[in-house]
Amino acid sequence: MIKLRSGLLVLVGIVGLVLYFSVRGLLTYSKNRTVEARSPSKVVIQKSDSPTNGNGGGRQWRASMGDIAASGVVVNCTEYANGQLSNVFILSDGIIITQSIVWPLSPSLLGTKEYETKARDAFESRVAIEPALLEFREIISEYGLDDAESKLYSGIWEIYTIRAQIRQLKRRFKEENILSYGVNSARVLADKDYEFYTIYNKSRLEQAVYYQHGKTRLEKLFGRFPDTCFDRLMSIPVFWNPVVLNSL
Amino acid sequence: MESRCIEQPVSDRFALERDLNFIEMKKISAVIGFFVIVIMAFYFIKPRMIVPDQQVSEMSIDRGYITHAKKFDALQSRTGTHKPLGFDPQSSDSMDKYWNDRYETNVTTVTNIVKTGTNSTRVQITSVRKNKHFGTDDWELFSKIQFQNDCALEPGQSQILDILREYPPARDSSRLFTGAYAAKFVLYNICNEVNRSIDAEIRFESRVKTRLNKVNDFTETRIQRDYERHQEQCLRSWQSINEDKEQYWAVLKELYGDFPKDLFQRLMAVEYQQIF
Repeated sequence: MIKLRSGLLVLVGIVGLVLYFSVRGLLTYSKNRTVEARSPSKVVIQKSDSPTNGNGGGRQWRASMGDIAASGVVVNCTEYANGQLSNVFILSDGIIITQSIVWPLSPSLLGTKEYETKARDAFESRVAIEPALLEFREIISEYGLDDAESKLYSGIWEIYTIRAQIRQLKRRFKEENILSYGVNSARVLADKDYEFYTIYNKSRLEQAVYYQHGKTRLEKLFGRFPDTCFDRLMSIPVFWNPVVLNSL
Repeated sequence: MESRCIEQPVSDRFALERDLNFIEMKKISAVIGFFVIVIMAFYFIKPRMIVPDQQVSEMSIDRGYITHAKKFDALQSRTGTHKPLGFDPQSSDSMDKYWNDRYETNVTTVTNIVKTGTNSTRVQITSVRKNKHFGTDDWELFSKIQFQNDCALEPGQSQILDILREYPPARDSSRLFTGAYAAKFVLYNICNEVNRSIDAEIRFESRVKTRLNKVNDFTETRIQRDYERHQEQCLRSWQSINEDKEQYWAVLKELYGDFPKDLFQRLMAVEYQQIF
């Protein structure tokens, strides 16, 4: 009888401790989960180095806001050979948006002498009103990339295009046109009908798409492109849109 | 008669055993109750300590700073030559007061003469009031508390600290948080300037659209003039951003002896929600 009682007491103690720690853990987890979902700090790119040949030869990758399990906010991007980008955004509250974007610069000309000449001409005609181009040149030159001399202006124009895309994204953010951009049924979606965080997360993921696609093009152009160089270039704001070199 | 004699002690024994069981049950209930109270106490108190809300987090995010403040006060009282800590780290009112009281009374006037690409000259007169707390131990502590509180709300800001720590003199400096906290203001100013330029672009485009709807002999000239004005505005924004960056870079050099340009540019590329 005494053994039974002491056994019962020990059991109550163990159950109590298990309950205490599980409730405590649950509270901490739920709080962290909310923090992650509300203010995810970084966009995490996944599978960027493992291109697949699915979907008609497209290169696929995925980006998420912070911890994918916590935030559940994801973009699945497919880059096609013709420069088209197809993005499927999975946002909070079960919102799924499919977006199609055409990158302003054609992939076929990239790395050719013709492209470099056009980029150099465009640089010279634009640099007076867009001093950021000089900074781009200075930073790229510092890194001593392969064929940097023969591809310098093509590289500058690529960077300019990425920065201009980001500026346009920020403009859409201000104009509350984030959810409708590149979407066929534009009338269905309006930023004002959704929570700020839904719009913000979509903006950050779209920004990641531009960064990732732009960087892929730079790597194709130079063979390699250091992250530190890319980060430095992304600190420089631009004020105009680049000329589309294909049409020159 | 005999049967009664036998029955009597049996019933007494039962009563005694019942009493003993009752006492034992009370003991068990008391122990279980104690456990329940302890668990409830931990349930209500502990989680709040671990996951503080915004108000509590201001004081509990960095347990080290209070120790730091006490050490600092002790050091001051020992030497007797320094001023006491300029604010109470545990009082938000005191910290607000310290923040509001940061400007020097002397105002420095700066005149900038700007020549733009379109043959026009602009004179800009600005007044500058310096932060009298800057560079002091108090300000470092204040910056640390504020920066860590902000990071708790928006973890993306910790990238600033990560980049600063890549530079060993900054990492080992006693002014690490002074530099980190200052970065937030520069990034905020840059973001504001970019947003202003986007607003100007939207206004410019809408003006051109309006002019194109009312075509007359002056339409082309007016559009050209609007374009030039917008161009000038963009260059001004560019210049303003560069001035902010240059000033901050000078501050970092002053704080850490030097600061590499590549790290500085990476620092300026940090983005988080407040400055998107």
